[in-house]
Amino acid sequence: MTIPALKRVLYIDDEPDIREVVELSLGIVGDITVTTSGSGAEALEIIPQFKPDLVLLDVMMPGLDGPATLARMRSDPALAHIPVIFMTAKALPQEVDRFMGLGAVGVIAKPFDPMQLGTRVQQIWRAVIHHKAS
Amino acid sequence: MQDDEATRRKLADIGARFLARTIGEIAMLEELLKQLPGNALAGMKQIEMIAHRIRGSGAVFGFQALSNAAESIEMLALQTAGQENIDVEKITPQLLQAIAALSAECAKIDGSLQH
Repeated sequence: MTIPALKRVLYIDDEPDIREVVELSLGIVGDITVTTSGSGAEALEIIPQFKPDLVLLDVMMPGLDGPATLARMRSDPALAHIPVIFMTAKALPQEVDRFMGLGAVGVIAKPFDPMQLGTRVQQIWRAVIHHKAS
Repeated sequence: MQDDEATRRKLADIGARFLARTIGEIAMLEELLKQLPGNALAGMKQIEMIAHRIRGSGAVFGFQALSNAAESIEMLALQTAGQENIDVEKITPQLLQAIAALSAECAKIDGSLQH
C-alpha cells in the first residue's frame, strides 16, 4: 500500500516560540507546508482555507483549549474527518486514554525532542492511513 | 530537507528569544502577585498558565533547571485551584521565592549565552 505523503500540517499553540520550533522540526522530515495558529478560535477559521492533512493541537491554551477545539472540529461535518494529534505535558496513561477517547489519533508528550518530532508525527500519520485503509 | 546543524543553530536562536520573553514574563508574574489580594482566583489561574507555558517551552529548549523552576510556580498556583478563600498572605512569600528562583535560572542561562 502506498502511503500518501503528509503535505499540510496546522499546529495550534498559544506559545509563539514553540510554534516556531514545530515549524522548524517538521521541516526536517520532508516537504511539509506548516501553518501555525495561536488559538483554537483562530484555528477554526484557518482550517477551512488551509485544508490541513493533519492538525497538531496543544491541550492547555487560554480561551478555547485543545479538547474544546477538537470538539468543535468533530461537530463540524467539513472538519470532522481531519486527524488531530494532541501535544501535552499531561501525558499520563489515563490522560492519554481520555484524549484518544475525545477523538484524537495520537498524543505527543511535551517536552518533545525537536529533532525527533517530525519522525514521530510521520509515524502517527502512517498509522492513521493504515487504519483508514483497513 | 534542512541539515541538522543548521536546524540546531536555528533552535538555539529561538531558544534565546524564548529566554528574553521569559525574562519579561517574570515581571508579569511579579505584577500578578502584587494584584492577588484583589483578584486571587483569576490571578492565580493566570500565574499557573504562564508558569505552565514557561515550564513546557523551557524543557523543549533544553533549559531543564529553568523548566523545573517554572514547575514549582505552577504547582504552587495549582495547590490553590478550587479553593474559595485563597490564603494570599501564606502563598505570596512562597511564590515570590519560586519566581526569584526562576529569575536566577534565566540570569544563569542569559550569562552563558553572552559568552
